Amino acid sequence: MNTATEQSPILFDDFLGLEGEDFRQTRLIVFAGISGSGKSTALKFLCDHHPAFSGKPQRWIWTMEKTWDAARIRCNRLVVVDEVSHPRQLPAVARLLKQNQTVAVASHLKPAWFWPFRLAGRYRHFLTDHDCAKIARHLTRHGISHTAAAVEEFCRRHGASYVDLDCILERHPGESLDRALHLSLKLDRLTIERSKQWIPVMPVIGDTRKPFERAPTAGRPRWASCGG
Amino acid sequence: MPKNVDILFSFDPEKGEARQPPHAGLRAKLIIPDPELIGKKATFTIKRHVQVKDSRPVHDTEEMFKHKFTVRGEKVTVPIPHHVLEDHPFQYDGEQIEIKCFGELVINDKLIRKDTSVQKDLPVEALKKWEVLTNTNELIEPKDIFSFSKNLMAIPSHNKIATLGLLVVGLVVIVVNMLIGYHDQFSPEHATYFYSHFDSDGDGSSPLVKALSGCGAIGAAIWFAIRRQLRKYMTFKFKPITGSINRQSEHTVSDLFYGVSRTDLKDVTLRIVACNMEKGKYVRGSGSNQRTVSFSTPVRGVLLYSKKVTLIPKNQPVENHFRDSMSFEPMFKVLYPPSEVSESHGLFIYWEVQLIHNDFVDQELAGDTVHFRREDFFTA
Repeated sequence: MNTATEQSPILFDDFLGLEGEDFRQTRLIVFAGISGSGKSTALKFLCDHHPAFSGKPQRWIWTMEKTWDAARIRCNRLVVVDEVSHPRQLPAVARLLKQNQTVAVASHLKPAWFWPFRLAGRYRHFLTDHDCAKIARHLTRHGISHTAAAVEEFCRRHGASYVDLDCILERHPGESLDRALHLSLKLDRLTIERSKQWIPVMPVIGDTRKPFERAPTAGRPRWASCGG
Repeated sequence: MPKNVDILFSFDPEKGEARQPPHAGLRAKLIIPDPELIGKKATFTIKRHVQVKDSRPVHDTEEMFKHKFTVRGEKVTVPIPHHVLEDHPFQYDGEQIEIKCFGELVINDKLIRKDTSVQKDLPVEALKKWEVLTNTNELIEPKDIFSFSKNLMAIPSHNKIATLGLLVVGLVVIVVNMLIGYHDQFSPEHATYFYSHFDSDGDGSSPLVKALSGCGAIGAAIWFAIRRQLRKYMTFKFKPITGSINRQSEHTVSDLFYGVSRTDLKDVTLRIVACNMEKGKYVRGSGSNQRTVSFSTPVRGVLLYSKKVTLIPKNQPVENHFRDSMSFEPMFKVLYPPSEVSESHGLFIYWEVQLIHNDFVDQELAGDTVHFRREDFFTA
């Protein structure tokens, strides 16, 4: 549950303003949004870069859509649960909260499922797929021309998902978002499929002072995505 | 230990079904020299396989013929039924996909580990087509340049009113929204109209920033609604095509489509283009929710017809300006025959009629491919 491969470094866009957040009294942090919108990357940022958690005892749990044994996970400053996709996993989250200081969750559940957890203490809920501005910044950073209308249209169709954006740009390299989106609508179809067996990929946050690095792959340009 | 099983294809015209050239009489001789395999169940299959050229591909295979048997001796001869070769299977190595036709022999001789198996390509003739140098993407999807004001003037009055209405409503909503944002930004929390100084979690947030992002969303929605209105400056539709389209047939371009413009069309170009479409799938993303990208890549684009007309007066049938004769022959020479393994995988044929204009939003019609006979693509 805790083994994962690592992906190539990605430049982290702190679109949720996590760096400035004071999580000292926070018990539960939930990142909700479509897959590929940056939930895992935000969790990784908390672990490695946030002053409240960086360098302190932590545990990262890849749930693989199952419940897990929370009994032995205790006394951590932060426990990360990636990801919660079914309400039956919530009792284990409650147990982690009881035995650890803070629990951070990547969630596919409606926010209402977490309301009872407010009783446990301060609770923060972040939506990762509502911010079109992060998509515009991502495009600017890679020198891909785009209009605000194309960004809005992309978000309307796909949500603010880095993975979907990268899929479209990879299919039509060298094109603006406007044209890539147009070509994609005519020629391609993007479907989200739940995979039963998958290898967890641990996001690696690159040095924000260095230019963005792309992972070379055979044949065609690939885009490192910060999806989670 | 390797068991040296093999497949040998041989052609025997004497034994072919009558009047079914060129592949009638094709047989597969299955060589199974290992006596230990006698009595084992075996399967011989002819498959058409689409291999997607990607680091995370999703391939697809069609089973064209399957023969199950029990190994009784060293050699087994399997006649390949005519229907398998009727389709003229061919090997194709394209930009994003590769299509292979092969025979596969699998002998069920292992309980846990892999069965003994061998694969051999079907002895099909190589299909050579003309080299193509055009930029197929640009040919199939030319960049659409248009003038908003000229386009606006050309659309029907009710669409014009709708467009201007959308512009006015959008502008008013944006201005009001920004005024509210500005007011709320500099007002105490109890005096705000709409935008709070706090988010749902009780943390500070800027009403002005919220108002700005609201304006972006409103602007985008209105722009896409306007573009839909702008296409209505003319009608442009296919006429029903009777009969098949083949190498010899000549067609009058005006018989393919009809349309009427509400405005004079100056320097308008009509093009008929065709291409092969490579279709397949690959996977992207990580975690439990992965993306399957179903792609269609246009390749081997060919321009079948192109004519620029200096003026098409308004309310006149557009097709009357294109009474030329045209042939689809170049398409049969350049394009590979369709080889469709499934709806999402294989090589397809695509053609469309484009009306390109620099002042107005371009029009395009994707053609039906049922009119083409597969056989017509086989001779160069």
